[in-house]
Amino acid sequence: MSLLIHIGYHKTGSTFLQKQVFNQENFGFISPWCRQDYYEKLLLVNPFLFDINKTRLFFEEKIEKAAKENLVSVISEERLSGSITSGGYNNYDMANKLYSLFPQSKILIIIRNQLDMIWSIYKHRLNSDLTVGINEYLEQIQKEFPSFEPFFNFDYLQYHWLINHYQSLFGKDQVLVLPYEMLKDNKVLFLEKISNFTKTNIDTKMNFSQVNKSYSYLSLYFKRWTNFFAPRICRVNSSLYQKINNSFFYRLNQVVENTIPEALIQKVENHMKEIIAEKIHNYYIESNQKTSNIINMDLSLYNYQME
Amino acid sequence: MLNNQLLIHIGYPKTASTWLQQGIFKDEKMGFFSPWRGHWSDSIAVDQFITVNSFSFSAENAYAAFENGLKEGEKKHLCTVLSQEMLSCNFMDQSGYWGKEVAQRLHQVFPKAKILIVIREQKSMIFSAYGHYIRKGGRHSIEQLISTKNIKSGLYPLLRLYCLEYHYLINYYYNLFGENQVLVLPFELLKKDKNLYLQKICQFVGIENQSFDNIPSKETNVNYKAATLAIHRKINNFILFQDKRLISSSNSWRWIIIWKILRLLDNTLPEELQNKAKSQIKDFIQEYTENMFVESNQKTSELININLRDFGYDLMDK
Repeated sequence: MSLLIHIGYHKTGSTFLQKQVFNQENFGFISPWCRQDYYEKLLLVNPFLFDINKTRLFFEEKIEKAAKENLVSVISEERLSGSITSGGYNNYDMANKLYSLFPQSKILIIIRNQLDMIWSIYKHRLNSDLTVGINEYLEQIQKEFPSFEPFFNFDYLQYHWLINHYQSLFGKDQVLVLPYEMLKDNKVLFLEKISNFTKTNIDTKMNFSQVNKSYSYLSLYFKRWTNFFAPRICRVNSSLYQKINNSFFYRLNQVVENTIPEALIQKVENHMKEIIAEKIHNYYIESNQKTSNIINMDLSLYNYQME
Repeated sequence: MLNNQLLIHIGYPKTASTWLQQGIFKDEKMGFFSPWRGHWSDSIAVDQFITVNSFSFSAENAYAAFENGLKEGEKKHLCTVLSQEMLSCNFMDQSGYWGKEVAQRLHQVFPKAKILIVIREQKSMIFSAYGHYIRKGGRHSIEQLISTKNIKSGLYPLLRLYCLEYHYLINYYYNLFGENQVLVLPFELLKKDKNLYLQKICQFVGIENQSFDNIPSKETNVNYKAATLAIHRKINNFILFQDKRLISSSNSWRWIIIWKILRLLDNTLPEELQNKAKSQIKDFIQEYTENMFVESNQKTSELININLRDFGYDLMDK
């Protein structure tokens, strides 16, 4: 089966891959589905109504059509690796679901060193609607008072659990795990690995444009306070307040980037990262060690927490 | 495994679970024993069955967390109860509907347990859930909360109504635990005849000759009236509360003060105003959910051998 399933994680260049690689037929890929399909058919389907045959049929027609044209179909949705706001909820079941549907498919998982990942997720959440500071965001559940949702569950980024599960389901050779840092340091190598894995021909020398440039924390710090007033509505035409707020901070961010010295921005961000580093302490050492072993890659080269 | 005398009450939310937990299940004179009570409903159930890391879930480890309580219950010759309404679902959470997954885990750990499921007529459930949502800091209108109109691609409304098609979960529990091991009661029976409601639960777990006359029928977690909720919603938009998920009645003085003021308003605002606001919400729910649950209610009725029409549920015309 010519199907690649790219499950994320979040904040690992998914948009770049989706917009500039996986929809390029000249590279050998095609992405014939939209995000709504993934949510309706896979992610939020009533579990009692999930029908393997019907769901497979929905995807299969386009996969076969693409195969006839020698194209690899791609399902790319970072939410398949779990919900960012609920500690990766559902990622175990999702792996089982994907295997039951497409046991012959290839799986692409992109990970990122946890310190940078948490910082990126926190900024992303601030840019949406988060209203809490970094300390509160990273506070974990107190056992005497369990709760459904710490804002951020550290376990979500223990990558070895999910990778191991996918490898045991699909087979080790069918699962490619790459660090996001490789994409930043050596895009050519990163894309070559995907190309070899999927037997496609990505033009690694092509000039790709930058997508999803993150906001400066200085802008987001102020947005955090205005988020208190923003209604949380998941709608196309959300409130006027949200539109004005987002537009204002988009411009503010441009002003910040053009006027505040880069060194000062970096200093503030480094301070925040120090707080995160203190919070996570050695939490990921064991998991990263296991991840390194199961993907045969020395993650310490990419500054992952290791022994 | 000592789970023959274990009753697991899985909810649903908004079906007087707190009343059962505080008033009945912790009353040893009634024949019940709740060894895992925390600040709120049995939170150990959340840890062990809902938020547990799926990759490392082990039935043996989960059982070990309950073993002492089960032994104690057996020693006392009481019916041990594990009660957590979220075990059925949290229909106010977009991240997922875990009812099926939790049922599997419960069965792996306690295959011989008895299961209690309390359901509620859906329109009344939605109305109650909306009140709860606003009380916890929600900012959406009822339309925004349940309607799929104008929803961004791939997203769903906050309250996912398919969770209220009860027959799926009931049927699933029947298949796992056996029909005789599962008792399903409508919440409306409690309102109609408290004694019969409790009698059914006691009979189900083998407790006999109980008198329920002295048990208070006082409802806990009573919502504000509709006009008060509308004011609460406006306040939620403009007061700098911390993010909703960290708020509970016990740890935020700001909420406690606001709630006291709102309770005062609740008692003083004209009934006419309250009723008008209430009918606006109810009318929308009625209109939006018309016939949505008929088929499911019909199946539920047949599954549990109770004519749910008698309790106001939407069913097919005869």
